[in-house]
Formats: sequence, C-alpha cells, structure tokens
Amino acid sequence: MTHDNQSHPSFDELNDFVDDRLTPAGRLDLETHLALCPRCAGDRDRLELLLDQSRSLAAEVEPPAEIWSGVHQRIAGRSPLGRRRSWLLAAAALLLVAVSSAVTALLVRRPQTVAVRQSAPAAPLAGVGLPVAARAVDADYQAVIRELDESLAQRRAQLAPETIAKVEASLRVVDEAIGEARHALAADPANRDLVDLLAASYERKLELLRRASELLPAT
Amino acid sequence: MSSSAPYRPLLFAWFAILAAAPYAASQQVVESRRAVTATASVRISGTFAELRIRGWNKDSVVITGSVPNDAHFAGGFLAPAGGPSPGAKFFVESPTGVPAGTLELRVPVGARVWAKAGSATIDAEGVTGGLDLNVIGGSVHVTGSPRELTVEAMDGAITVEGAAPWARLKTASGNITLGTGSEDAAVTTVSGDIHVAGRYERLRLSSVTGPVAFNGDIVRGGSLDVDTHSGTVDLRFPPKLSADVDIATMSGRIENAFNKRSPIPGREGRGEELAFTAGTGGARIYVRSFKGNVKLSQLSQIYLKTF
Repeated sequence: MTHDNQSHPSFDELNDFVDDRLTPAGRLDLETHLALCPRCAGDRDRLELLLDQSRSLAAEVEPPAEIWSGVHQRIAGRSPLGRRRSWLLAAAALLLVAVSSAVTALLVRRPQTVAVRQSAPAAPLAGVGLPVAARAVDADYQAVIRELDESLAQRRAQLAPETIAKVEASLRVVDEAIGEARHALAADPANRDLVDLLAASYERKLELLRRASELLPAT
Repeated sequence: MSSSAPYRPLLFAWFAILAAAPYAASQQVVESRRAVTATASVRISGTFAELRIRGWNKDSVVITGSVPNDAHFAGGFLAPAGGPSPGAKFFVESPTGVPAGTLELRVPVGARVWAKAGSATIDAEGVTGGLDLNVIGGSVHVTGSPRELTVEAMDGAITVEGAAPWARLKTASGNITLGTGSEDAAVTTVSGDIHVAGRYERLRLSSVTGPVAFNGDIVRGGSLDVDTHSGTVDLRFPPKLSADVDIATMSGRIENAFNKRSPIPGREGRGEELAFTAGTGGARIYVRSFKGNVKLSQLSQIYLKTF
C-alpha cells in the first residue's frame, strides 16, 4: 500500500487506520499521505470524531498488529493443500525411508549389535515416530497456532462462556482428526495424501483460532 | 351469554396495550440516512439480534429499526465537504451483551457492506457490490449475486441463494448451503453439513467431520477439490460430465454409481482409489478423504433441468 497525493486511501483503509488495524509499514505510509493531503486528513478527523461517540465500546477487536504481521507472513506462504510442497515433503520422507532402510540393513548384517527391544507404547502426539513430512507440516503450523492460542487466551475473559465452549468443542474435533492423521502418517510416512489431509486439518484449526481471536468482545 | 360479554374484546385490547406498553417504552428508534456514493462502504457491528440488508437503486444509505433503550447505538456517515459520503459506520452495544434489536440497512446495490455480530440473524438481498458478514450463532441468508461474498460463522447456518462470482463461506459447526454456482467458491467447515449445488468454475469443499454433498457441474477447465477427514462425501454430476476424476480414501469406502468403473484398493491395501476420465475430460475433480465414505452418482432429472 503506497499513497501519494494522487492515490488517496480508501474508506476501508482509513477505517483500518483509525481502528489501529494497519501494519506498522502501512500505518507509516498512510501517515505520510495524511500529512500531505488535507482532504484525507479531514476524512480521518471526521472518522475519529465519529468514533469518539463510541468511546465506551472496545476499541480493539483483533490481536495486536505485531502478532498478525507474523501470522500473515506464515499463512501467505501456504496454500490450503500445498501439493507442490507436499511432493517435496513426500520426497524428503521417501529419502528418510531409504536412509532408514540402509541403516537397518547395515544393522541386520551385524547381528551381534542388534538389541531386541520391547515395542514402545502407543506414541503420544508429541512427534515420536513421525516422518519428516509430518514434522515439517507440524513445525510450520504449530508456531502460528501457538501465537493464535496465546492471543485467544488473552482475550478469553472478554468472550462469552458459551462462545468459548463452541470454539473449544470444534477445536477438540479438529485435534482428534489431526491426531488420527499423524498416527496414520507414522505408519505410512511416504503417503502424500495423508500429508495433505493433515495440512487441511491444521488449516481448519488455524481458521478457527483466527476467527475466535477476531470475535467482538462480550459475544 | 352474560351481560359483560360485549365488553370482553375491549377488555382484551386494553390488557394487550398494557402488556405491550413497557416493551414499546424500552425500545429506542434508530433512523439515519444520507446520500452516499454508489460504491459506498458501510460497516455495522455489535449486539443487534436481527439485521436486514437491502440493496436498492438509490445512492443513499438508510438505517432504520429499534434497539433496547439501554443499548448504545453510535456511528454515522463519513462526511466530506459537499458531495455524497463514501462510507458509514454503525455500532450497537448492549450493557448485558445479549443480542437485541432489529435493524434494516438500505444501501446502493453496488455498496460494500461489512457486518459483524454475536448471535444474530442477517438477511441480505440485492447487493451486487461486496458482502462480508460474520456471526457466531444465528444465521446468515444471502440472496442475489454480490461480486464478493465472505461469510463466516461459528455455529450459525449460512445459506446463499444466488451466484456470487467469488465466495468464501466458513463455519465451525454451522451448516452451509450454496446454490446456483460461482466462478470461484470455497466452502469450509469443521463439523457442519455442506450442501452445494450449481455450476462452478473453481470450487473447494473442505470439512473435518461434516458431510459434504455436491449436486452440480464443473465447467471445462474448472476444478472441484474436496477434502475431509471423516465426513461422508456425496457427489452427483450430470451424466455428460467431462472431467478427470481422481478419488482416494485412506480407510473409507468408495461407491461408484456414476459409471461402471470399480474402485481399487489403496496404497498398501488401505482405503480405496478411483480414477477415470469422464467424457473428453477437461475439468478436474479431486477428492481426498481420510475415513469418510465417498459416493459418486448421476444427477437426477430434477436437478438436470436446473442447468
């Protein structure tokens, strides 16, 4: 978003400006324009006057801009079912399988070094036994999800208990699906469809958290 | 018949007036209007219970209705010196947070409307500009063909009757119904039902546990992408479908009643796969399900008449 004197900001952009919803760069850009353009500065003043009448209302309905800038950057780089990337991840998983097989073969050829172990109990969801593909997807999403989780936790007191209950019920559904997809991937690490489905479930979770973090206070 | 019988209707009317009086007194009237540009941007948010949005062939915005007396209604029009206003912004807040009040918002057909509420019923009709509607509960109903349509809800239901060229519909557990068709539509839910009908160029349907039903056609060169974790997928196409079909489940079953092709076992015997070219191909139909069953069949004659 760049504004010179000929290209005036839209009403939406001005709204976002007075609502403090622009990125720091966007805000700076608009401030520069407002300093040079009396017409837009007047619009801004009138809009702020309008909002003064609503001072009792919560001014902020979204997480702070610094959180969003990071979130948006991560989301922007990912398509819902990033097939191209999934192929790369699947290729990486295949490579891992090949390396694992080679190591196993080496160990089998040296029977004196092979130790018999009891099979481990069912792996928790903390990544044990996950293939490279799933770990990469996990890492990508978990960071964003953690930020949104924190943002939602901060706004929790502002939301109605029934709304929180609705959000948490849906999050449980998604988490269960994510858990199943991860376990399936541990058994079939090179399955690119599984990676895509896991990514799709993560997308649903991300959307849900984003929406929850944007809800109006007291709703 | 007793002698008091003729007075009974009057008595009832009197009691009715007495009963309604406190309600009428507890409401404040909302009325605001102003000339705006044809593509004005209008924002409204807060704790209203019902909002009707109507596009009309006038370059003015009118908001009317009533909200409880203890609610705070604020906002107004962006007012440049002379000339029509490019936008307006309204806010309703009730001290209890309980949704209340009914509003009707009339906007130029080409306006862009942004509405956000808690639990509310939003009904929009006749707007060809843009609609961005967001509720938690309640419902959203859109009629007409907004150029850009975004609707998000938690457990609220979304119904769209009309052909928005670009549509994004999302819920957590609310049901979504989209009819008629679109150039580019994406419908996503966690556990709600998805019902989509019509002719589409690019369509993505995505759910976690919610069932997905599609009755329609994909234009040549277009695409339909469906993904679900455990929702059932029911796809019905015209018998003369021209598309490359690629369906796979990780553990669900595939039932093909569209043609005689049989699904085959999936990778390492898990799930099923079905791939074929219908007609001369050209469109792409790609379905992935973790454990939901997938059914493919032909559209009934009733649906075919709508294309």
